[in-house]
Amino acid sequence: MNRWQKIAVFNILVIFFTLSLTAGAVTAIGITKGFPKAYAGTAFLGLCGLLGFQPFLFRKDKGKVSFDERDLVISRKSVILGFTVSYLFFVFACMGCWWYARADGMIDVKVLPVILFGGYIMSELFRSASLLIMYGRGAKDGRE
Amino acid sequence: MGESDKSKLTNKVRRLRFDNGEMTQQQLADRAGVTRQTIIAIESGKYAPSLPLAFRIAKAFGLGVEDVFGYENDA
Repeated sequence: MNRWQKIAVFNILVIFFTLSLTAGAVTAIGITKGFPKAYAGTAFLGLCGLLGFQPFLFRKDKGKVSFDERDLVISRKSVILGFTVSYLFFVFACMGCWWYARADGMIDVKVLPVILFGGYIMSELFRSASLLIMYGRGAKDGRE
Repeated sequence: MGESDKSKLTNKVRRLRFDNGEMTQQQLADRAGVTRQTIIAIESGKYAPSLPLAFRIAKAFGLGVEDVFGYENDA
């Protein structure tokens, strides 16, 4: 497993840990104190900040080639997929808000950061998962 | 990928490694300036290298690119 695969696994673990904790907190607070207050549970989404520790946890081996043209092809594809998924998530989240609030209604301002965080999380999740899949089966197209 | 799906890039990298003093994948990777995983992917036909990389690999064996890589088109 190379450095990029390790980073992808780390990303997926952090995201699952964050989402599990957030879902658990929102559910627990929602049951005990009611729903508007349950939004406080989304504060756990801040744990995604752990993703920023990647460069310190997975250091580059000095003197060894750790990124070549095949890594670039895989990386590009996974970034495009991650961006596409986050864009679709954002579009569907906006449509959902529209459907929920109707033409004259309003949505809670707390929903907006959740949509942005959600888009980022979806992007990272799909980017990392697709990267692992492509490394697993080997990208067939160095001739693109 | 404008070519037919039936086209296939073949290579003799594995055989040439053994013919060249049982060169390891890591040694070839170091000479070609890529990772060992890329050499593995090329040997198993899962990755078609770029032209510059194909030339570097061929140069590592002291051969021309056509001596290492071939092209099959069944279409």
